[in-house]
Amino acid sequence: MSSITAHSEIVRRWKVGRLPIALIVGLTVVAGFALLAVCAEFIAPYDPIIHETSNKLAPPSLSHPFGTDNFGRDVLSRVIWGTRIDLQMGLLGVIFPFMIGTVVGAVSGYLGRWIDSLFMRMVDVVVAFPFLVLMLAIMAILGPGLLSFYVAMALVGWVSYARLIRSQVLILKHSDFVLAAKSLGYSHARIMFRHILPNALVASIVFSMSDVVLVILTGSAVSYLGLGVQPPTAEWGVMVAEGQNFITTAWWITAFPGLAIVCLAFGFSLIADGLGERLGLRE
Amino acid sequence: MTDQLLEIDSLTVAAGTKDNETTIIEDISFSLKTGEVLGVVGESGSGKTVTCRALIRLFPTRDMRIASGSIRLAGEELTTLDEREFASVRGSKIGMIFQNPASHLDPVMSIGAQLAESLEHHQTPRGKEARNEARNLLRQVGIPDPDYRFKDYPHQFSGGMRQRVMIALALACNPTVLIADEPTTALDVTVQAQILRLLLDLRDTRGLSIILVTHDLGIVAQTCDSIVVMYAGRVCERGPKRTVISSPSHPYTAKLIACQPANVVASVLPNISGQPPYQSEMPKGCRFHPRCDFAFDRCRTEIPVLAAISERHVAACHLAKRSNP
Repeated sequence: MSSITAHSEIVRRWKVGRLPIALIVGLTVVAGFALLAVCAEFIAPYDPIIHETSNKLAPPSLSHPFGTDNFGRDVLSRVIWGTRIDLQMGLLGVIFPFMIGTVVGAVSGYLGRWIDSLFMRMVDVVVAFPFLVLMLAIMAILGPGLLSFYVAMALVGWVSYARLIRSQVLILKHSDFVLAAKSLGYSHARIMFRHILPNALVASIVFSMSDVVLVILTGSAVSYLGLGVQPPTAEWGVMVAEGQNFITTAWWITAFPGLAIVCLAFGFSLIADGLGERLGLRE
Repeated sequence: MTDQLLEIDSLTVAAGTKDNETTIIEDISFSLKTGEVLGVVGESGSGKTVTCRALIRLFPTRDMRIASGSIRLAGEELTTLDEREFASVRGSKIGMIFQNPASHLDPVMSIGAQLAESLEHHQTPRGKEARNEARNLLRQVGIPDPDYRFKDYPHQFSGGMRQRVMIALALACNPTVLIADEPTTALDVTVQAQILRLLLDLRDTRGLSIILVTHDLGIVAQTCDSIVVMYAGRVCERGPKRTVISSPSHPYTAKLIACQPANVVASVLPNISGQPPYQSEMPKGCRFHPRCDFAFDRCRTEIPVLAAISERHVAACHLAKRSNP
């Protein structure tokens, strides 16, 4: 008996350990960026903000691997410091909409009736506007800055999560294990948050990973348009915006932060892919 | 009549809007003593499941409701309780286990956590104490090596083990009545016997009263003390197991018994010709008359009432006669 259980334990662990390659690569890329963000002070060779006017627009060299910009700042250092802002934007810009959307979707799907109609009409209103236009409008009202970016993101981004969670809850609330939970006399709140929600989250967790990509791109976009992070703070979108005047003569100012955006986005996309595959297998 | 734990009296469940109402089950009456095992038998669609669900007020569809009749548990009327009051009955007084244990357990919560949750919700133990109690319950329902299986998820259990877990979940609430809705239909025959044995053991050790819903008369013959036979939403016969099986008074019961493979000598299994009626096309009079060999004019017009055959044996048939003792 014990040899059988020991054997099945090994089988179980082994299956758990066999993660999709996409997930491993994605996690590695994102972990690398996270390390850069945390240790920016120690890794960045130069200060990202102080001007070194004697060495403007220097092409990539050994002392400045990514070159310098029009104020003589080291582009590599600025990309490294930018990681901190962009990663934070990606994560916080997803967490708030995720939480709001999850609660709204769960309540809406579970309770149904007029509450459902109310929330879903609110979703329709938000969805009716083009995403970026609504973001810019809200940020224009709140004034530029990171905080207003997060607020705008939360106000606009929750709708996708609400719809996703609601659709899952609608299916799950008629499932057998929910009936069984009801037969045990559990309250609606307990059934909704302890039994339905954990089952409904899978799809939106996968979605949130690919959403991080969208949020980082949006953050860079609004910064590029001058509404998000303000110069001289090092942020990839701002750097691309600042460098565009010199794109014919100093391509490195825009190319390297642009490349960083692509790499980080690629990392999160891989995680989303891998998670989807991994969690899909369990169904 | 006070020794009855659960009394169901002319219970009628209806569905649909007020203008377009159909009755799903009609005029159901039976009762259950403490420690009794009652078998509810009938074909698919005869209203067995709806009857059970009515007892814990969790109907298969939202528009179903108790239209009339009463359900009394230990003297307390349940039909008049509001939703909030009824929540204290569900689980803690009347527990339920279901046909398909695979889909009735939360797939993303470990067995131990589900048990501990149920214990904490209905009884006092908290935290570690609840987890220990949960292990005890797993042991009681015959899960080997409960300490090891405690952290496992439902998909890691076999069908029979899942059913045991579900029984443990229901027991965690310490109910007085356990409704088992076809608890063994999805299981192997050998596992079936184990689960039924377990239910009977629990009746003996905990004084549990059990309503066993099944379409398998063989199971009833092995386990139950009394039988309710349902057809098309009505009770057609009710009585002690021995009496009903040895001398059925309703033609439907007689045919059901004749169809049991164990009772068949010929190489061809007999069947009951025809189909159970649709909800929308209930025959007038006795609902069984289109399939009954003994039907006569009166059966087509007049609904037979449950008439006493002997002291505890009743049947709803115009031909059923009171046996002279």
